[in-house]
Amino acid sequence: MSSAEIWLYGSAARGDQDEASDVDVLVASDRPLTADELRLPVEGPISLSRYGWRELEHMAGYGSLFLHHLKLEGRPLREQPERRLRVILSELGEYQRADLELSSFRQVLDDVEHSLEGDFSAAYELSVIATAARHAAILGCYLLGEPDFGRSSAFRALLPRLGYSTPETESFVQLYCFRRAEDWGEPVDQPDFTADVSSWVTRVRSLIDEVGDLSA
Amino acid sequence: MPEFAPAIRQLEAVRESAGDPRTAYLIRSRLRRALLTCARTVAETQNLEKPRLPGQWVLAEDAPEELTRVVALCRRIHQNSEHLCQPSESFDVRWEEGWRSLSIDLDRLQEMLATVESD
Repeated sequence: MSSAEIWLYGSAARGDQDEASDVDVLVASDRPLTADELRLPVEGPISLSRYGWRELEHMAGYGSLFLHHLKLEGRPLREQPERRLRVILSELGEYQRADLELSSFRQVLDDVEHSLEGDFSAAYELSVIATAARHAAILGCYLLGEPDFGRSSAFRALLPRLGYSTPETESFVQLYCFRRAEDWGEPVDQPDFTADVSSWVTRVRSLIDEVGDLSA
Repeated sequence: MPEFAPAIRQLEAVRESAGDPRTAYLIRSRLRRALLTCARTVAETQNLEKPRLPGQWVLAEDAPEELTRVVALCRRIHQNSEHLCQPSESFDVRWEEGWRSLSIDLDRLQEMLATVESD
């Protein structure tokens, strides 16, 4: 397995996984690994992401939030003697794409609003909104100097700091849980937000603007 | 006759955003929405329940051949774009490498939809 490294990250690395959680595994390698090489000492469905070394070095060049995520909570399952990814993470600079990312989230919400004018799937549009909200919360935590990449904890860390009440904060957490339940095709043990897409666009747009103020 | 005009407009929006591959989530959400709209249009044409999320496909056993081809191509694009649509923001390098083959399939899909639309 030349120059490949395998790292665990996400809820399994943090220790807060639940029955719906994938085990997030990063493979740093310039070629796909074989099934034998991917036999890992973890339990549960694996969500595998493979990144080439050139790609990882490029990401490090703009201080990728994903690499900050790995740096904060990643755990190597297999490393090369030269600990190549660890070196990349140790030299990681500040994230340089906050404004660009926020601008793209605003466009994502514009798209959702436009979709509502024709035939649309409320489940999909809410999923898009929820993902933008989570990314914005993660970015906000990073901009506050308190990075948090958790599914719920990023909302709970950021939103009260922005003046949101506990019920408001928890409604964002529930929106993201709704998205996950939909993606997994499981019964939704959450409020049904499907009649509420338009108001969620407004709420998440406001959150994005508030995160933008942190970036300014 | 299937009304694929909205799906065609959404495919054009994918192409427009693909010009800046740093905006990962925007491209990804547009691509998935376009595929979902194709699937929903196919379902509506056959009076079947419309899919809620991308990656769900419905096709009647006696579906016309052109709709079968649309679904097959959408399915292939969905599968092939999974690698491009990984959840982090590291889209640009990957996009440069994967866009050529994906854009060929998107061109084919757009032509196919336009043909069905005009029949």
